[in-house]
Amino acid sequence: MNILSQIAENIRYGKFAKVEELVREGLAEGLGWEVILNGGLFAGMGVVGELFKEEEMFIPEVLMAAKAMEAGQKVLEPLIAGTSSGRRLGKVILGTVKGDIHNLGKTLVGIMLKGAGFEVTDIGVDVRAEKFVEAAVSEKAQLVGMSALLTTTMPRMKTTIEALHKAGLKQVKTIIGGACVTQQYADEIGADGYAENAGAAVAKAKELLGLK
Amino acid sequence: MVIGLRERMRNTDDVLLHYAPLHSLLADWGKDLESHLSEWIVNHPDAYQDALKQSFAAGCDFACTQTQASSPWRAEPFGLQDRVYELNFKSAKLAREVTPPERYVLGMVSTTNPDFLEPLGNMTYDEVYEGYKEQMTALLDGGIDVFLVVGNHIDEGVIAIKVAKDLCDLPIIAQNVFYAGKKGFRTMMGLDPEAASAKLQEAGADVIGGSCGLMTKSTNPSEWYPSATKLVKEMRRGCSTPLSIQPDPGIPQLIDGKTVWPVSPLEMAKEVSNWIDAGARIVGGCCGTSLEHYQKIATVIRERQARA
Repeated sequence: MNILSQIAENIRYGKFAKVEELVREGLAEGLGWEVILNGGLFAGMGVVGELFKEEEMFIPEVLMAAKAMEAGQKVLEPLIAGTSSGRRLGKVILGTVKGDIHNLGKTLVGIMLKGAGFEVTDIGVDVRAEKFVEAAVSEKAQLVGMSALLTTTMPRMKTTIEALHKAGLKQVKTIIGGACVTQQYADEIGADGYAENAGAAVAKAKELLGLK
Repeated sequence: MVIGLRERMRNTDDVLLHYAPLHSLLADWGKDLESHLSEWIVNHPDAYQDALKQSFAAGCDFACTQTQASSPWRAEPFGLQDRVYELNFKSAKLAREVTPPERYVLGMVSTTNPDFLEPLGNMTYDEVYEGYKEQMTALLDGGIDVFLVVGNHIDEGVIAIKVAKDLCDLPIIAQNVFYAGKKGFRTMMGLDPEAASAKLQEAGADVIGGSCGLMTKSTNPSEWYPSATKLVKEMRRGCSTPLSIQPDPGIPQLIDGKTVWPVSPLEMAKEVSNWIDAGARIVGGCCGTSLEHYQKIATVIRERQARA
């Protein structure tokens, strides 16, 4: 097995120390950071995303895989910094809307998006509409993702989309998700996209940004 | 003499009713989304006690402290980390004051959300143990009769059970939240009902159950509660304790700005006997289950007991 496959494999099993070691080894062998990032780390997370979608992997394994990816990325970070080609697929703001403190679904979406090459800023839970707007402006985001677990907080996603539009950010795409959210609801409140789960969020985010 | 819950579970065939979604009922008394549940309860003691009295009138056997968000970890984002003891103690005391004899005050603890126990998250065993200890000591001092440990991450639940056992000899009800997936029921962490129940029995829980969650992906209401029967049977395979079951009445839908749960009280009442036959001794519903649902299932339980 070549070193990239080994990195991907060890990400899938959440072996962060091994991933870190293999990434160093790859660099020492002369592989470029981009090759390692795409062919090793993101490839591994791609498999994780698929297995999670198929319910072959569950949250504990995904969290460990994410730790392994971060361990590998940390090694590459100094090389990526300062290169113009270090730009990722796009910038995404993620948060759970005001009144809702449910964290996990949104965190998983963040893991999957990062694992696919997006740059993700997670602005937390119980987030006011204005804070989404501020973050979208300051981060120059292309995509804003909103989560709500409760039916009682779902209308806050509509408020947030309205606030983004009012701030003149119509070009920023919006994507929503949560246990009770449906495509129908997304259409109703004018969200650009809906994803049923964290795995589906990656494909939808790419589609919305025209990255297919 | 008042009979304790453990003895009642051991020595009688009684089936008890637990009103799990008291927190959503409190919206009728003006509980808003923003405020912290326990802080709101402590600031609105009459509303909380009225809601409990209504649930007792509907036939329920437990008064839950609703302290799921009052661990140090979950109080902290609300700036309430210094009031953990007070909030838990007062909630238990308020519940105690209105709980009639032969009914029980349930001291509730939940997961460590938003962080996890290591290695998944950053919390150490000792931190989790001490956090639960602070909360559970306050609930005990407030006068509870039984602990209710609920959560998505069983390793944390096992620590809460250990704390309860180290502190006292009160009975413990421990429940997992299950979701219906492609391969059947799983906890959020991927355990099936048999394995999850076995683990809680090993930890020393007196009653083991399942709650909340998405019982089936089917949108057909007539399949909803029968799916809970299937879950009870699967939990039975993993443990020999009495079981408890509290499913949601379907996946809530937002229709014209109002939250609507699709499965009716009648649908629930039709299925309750099957839960009991499969081993459930504590029954009820979760978020969205109305008092009307409870009145209907209380009638079913009474009729069963009259026949026995």
